[in-house]
Amino acid sequence: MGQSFAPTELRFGFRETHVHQEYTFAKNNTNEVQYFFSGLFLFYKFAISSQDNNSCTFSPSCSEFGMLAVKKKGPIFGMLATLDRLQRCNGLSPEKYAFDQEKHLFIDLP
Amino acid sequence: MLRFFSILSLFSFSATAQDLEETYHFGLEQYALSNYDVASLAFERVLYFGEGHFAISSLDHLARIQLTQGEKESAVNYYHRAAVMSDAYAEKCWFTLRKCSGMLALHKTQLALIDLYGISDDLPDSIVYYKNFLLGVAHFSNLNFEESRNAFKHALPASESVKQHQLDSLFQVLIHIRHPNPKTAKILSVILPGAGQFYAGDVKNGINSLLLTGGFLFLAVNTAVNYGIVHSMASVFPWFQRYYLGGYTRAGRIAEDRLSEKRDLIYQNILNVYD
Repeated sequence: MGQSFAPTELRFGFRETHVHQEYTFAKNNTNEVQYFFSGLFLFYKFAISSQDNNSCTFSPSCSEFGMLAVKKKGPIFGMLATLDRLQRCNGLSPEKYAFDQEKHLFIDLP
Repeated sequence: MLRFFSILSLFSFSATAQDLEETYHFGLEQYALSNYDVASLAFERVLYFGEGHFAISSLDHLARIQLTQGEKESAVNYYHRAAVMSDAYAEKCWFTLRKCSGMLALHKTQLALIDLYGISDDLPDSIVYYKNFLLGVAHFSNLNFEESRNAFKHALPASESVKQHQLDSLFQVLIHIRHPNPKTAKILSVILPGAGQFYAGDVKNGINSLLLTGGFLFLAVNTAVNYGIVHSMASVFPWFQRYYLGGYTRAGRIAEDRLSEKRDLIYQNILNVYD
C-alpha cells in the first residue's frame, strides 16, 4: 500500500485514434516498384479512402492487403492476390475466416 | 571414486536449500535492481510453494512488474488473485482498487465501476481517497463530469483548499468545452460537403471532401446530361452517395476527436493535482 494516486497506467488519453493512422509498412520500400505501389496506396488512403465509411469486411483492409501482397509476392502475383481478395470482400463466407474480436472484422493476411 | 562420493555426501549433510523466505527476499532484491525477469521467476516460485503474506506480496510485486512491462491485463489478473487471497478487509480493498486502476487503463470502465461501488467507505482515509480518485477517473471516462468532479473532490482532504480550488477551476473549463460540436459539424457537412471539417478545424480533410464529392457530383450531372438519368443513377451516383455519406460521418468524428483532445489536456492536469 501507499503508492501514488495517479500512476502511469492511468495517464491514458480518451482521444479517438481512428481518425489518423500511420501506415509504416508503406514507407520501408526497397525498389522502384514498391515506391510506385506505396505511392498509389498512400494517395488512395489519404485522398479517397479517408472520406469513406469503414466498408471492408477484412483486417487488414483490401488496400492494406494489396500493399502487403505486392511487397510480399511481387507486383504480378501481389496484384492477382489483391484481385482475388476484392472478390472475396463480401462477408458471404464468415465460416472460412478467423474473427478479430477487437476490430469486429475477419482476419485475412496475404 | 569412493573418496569423491564420501566428500560429496559429507557436504550434502551440511548444505541447505533456499527456503521460501529467502526466495522471496531474493525476488525483492532483483525487483529493486529492476531485474524483472529474474524477480518474476522468484515470485512465481514463492507463489507456487507458499501461501499467506509471502504469496500475497509476491502477487502484488508480479502485478507491478506486469504494469511496468505494459501488460495491464495480466496485472489485473494478479491483483484480482491478491484481493481474493487477502484476509484483511482493508488489504483486500486496496488490491481491488489496484485492479480497478488496471481495468480503467484497459478502458473497462463499467467493470471497474461495479467493483468500486462494492467497496465500503468504512476504511482508512488513504483507501477511501484512492477509491474516490478512481471513481473520478471512471466518471470522467463516461463523460459524467459532475459526478467526476464530486468524486475527485472527495479524493482530497477538506484541508487541501488550494487543490480543491484547482479542481473546481479545471472542471469549470471542462464543462464549457463545447466547440466543435459533432452534431453541428455533421449538419454543416450535410449542407455543404467539407463545411463540417472546416468548422472542426481540419482544412485538409475539408478540401479533400469538397473536391471528391464535388467531382462525383459533376460527373453524375454530366453523365445524366449526356447518357440519361437512369445511366447516371446506376453508374456514378452510388459513388457520390458513398463519399457524401462518408464525408459527413467523418466530419462528426473529427469534431469528436478535437473535443477529446481538449478533454485529455484537462484530464492530465487533473492527474497533476494529485501528483
